[in-house]
This record gives sequence, structure tokens and C-alpha cells, in this order.
Amino acid sequence: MKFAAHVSRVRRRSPMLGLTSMIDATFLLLAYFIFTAGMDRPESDLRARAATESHRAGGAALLEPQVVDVMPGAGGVAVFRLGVVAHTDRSSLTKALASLPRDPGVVVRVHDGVVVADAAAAMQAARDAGFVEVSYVPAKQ
Amino acid sequence: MTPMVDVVFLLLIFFLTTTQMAQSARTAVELPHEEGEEGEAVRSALVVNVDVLGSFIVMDDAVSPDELRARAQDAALASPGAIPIVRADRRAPSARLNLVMQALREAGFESIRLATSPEGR
Repeated sequence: MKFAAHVSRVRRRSPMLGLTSMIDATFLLLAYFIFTAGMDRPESDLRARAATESHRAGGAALLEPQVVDVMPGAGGVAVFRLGVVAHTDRSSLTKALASLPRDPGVVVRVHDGVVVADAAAAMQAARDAGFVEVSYVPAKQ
Repeated sequence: MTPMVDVVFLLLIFFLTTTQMAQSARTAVELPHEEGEEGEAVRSALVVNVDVLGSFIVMDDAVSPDELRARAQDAALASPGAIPIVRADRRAPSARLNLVMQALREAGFESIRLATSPEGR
């Protein structure tokens, strides 16, 4: 038997990778990762009931609404007024809101003269304090 | 056969990705830097953008307050119960945001979503 001669005749050749196929595969992978990476920055949101001064949404008509007034203060800094206390920073507003009952919900009443970031800060403070029911009310001017 | 499969595959990827890009095109506004809240992402029937100057932009069109009211009423009739998204620039005047809120409330929307950017915190 001549096994050695047979083996040498069918000697395996190393596989060849075609350049065109490799470029195709590389391009497809590149395109895939570019487009699945996503180009938009992630966004979140703050939900609120839309209400007006004359019609505050929420259905808790028997309960006294707790109102945070977002209004312009001295030096262009927004003031968050809760009752008779004016808060100038969000953390103190959050602490004050956290001591209130949650059931009546909270109304964020936004006055002219501030910016959107201030209104969003008040809404976020209400959420952080644990309020589920947050209403946005444009203040009458 | 192989080149044809390559071309078909490339065309498929092209159309898939261009469709996705068209849907995700957003008006460039700097959103409030807030965490927002947990909740599932929804595709709203109406997205109102308010740029830094307070202009209203709906579907890439700059609209007047009257046009905004009309579009809000159309959207409320077409998608009752939907929650519109307000994408307002964080530096925009609150008076303009109030105007949007009034228009949406008058159109019949009971709730809104104010878009925020968690990355900016």
C-alpha cells in the first residue's frame, strides 16, 4: 500500500480569500454599524396635564391645588414660589414639594418673563418629589 | 449571481437606512437639560418645535400662532387621546411655550410631553 504517495497527491491548499468579496463584506459591515449607531441624541420627556387658569385639569376638584409659580425674579433669575415661600434653586423647591401631600397633585403655573428651562426645572422638581399628577398652567398676564 | 446579490443587498440597506434617517430628522433645538421620567417611547401625532427665538415649527414648516391652532385641532381630531410632544428650546421665552400650551389645550389635548435632554445634565 502506498499511503504516502496518495497523501502527497491530494495535498490541501490553503484557502484563498478574494479581495472583492472582502471589500464587499467590510463595506457592508461599515454601513451597518454607521446606520445602527444612531445619529440623534437620546431624548426624554416630562408629562403634564395641559390646563388653563379657568380649567385646571386633574379631576381633584375637592382638593386644594398646590401651585408652584415660576416667575421672573431679581437679576433675571427665575423664582419658584410655593405658597408664600420663594425658592431660587431647584433643590430647595424639590425638598419643599416632597413635604406636601401627593394626592392633590401639583400645578406648575408659568409666567411670562422666564425661559423654558425654568418651567422644565419646576416640572422635574415635582416629578423628583414624587408627584404623579403634574399640571402645566400658563399664567394669565 | 454573486455581484447581483451584492447589489440587491446594498440597495436594500440603502432604502432601509434612508427611511430611518428621514423619520429621525429632528428640528435642531437645545432641549432643557432634565432627566425626564421613565416611560415608553411613543410616536406622537403632533410634534411642535419652539426654537430659541420662539418661532413655532411643525413638520419643518414655520407656522404662525393661528396656523398652530389649526394644526393642533386637525391633529386632535385625527388622533383623539394622543399626547403631543413639545420640543422647546431651553432658552426660548416662556411666553411662547405658554402660547403652545394654550393652543394644544384649546384643541382638546389633555396632556402634553415636554421633551428634555438627559445628556445635558
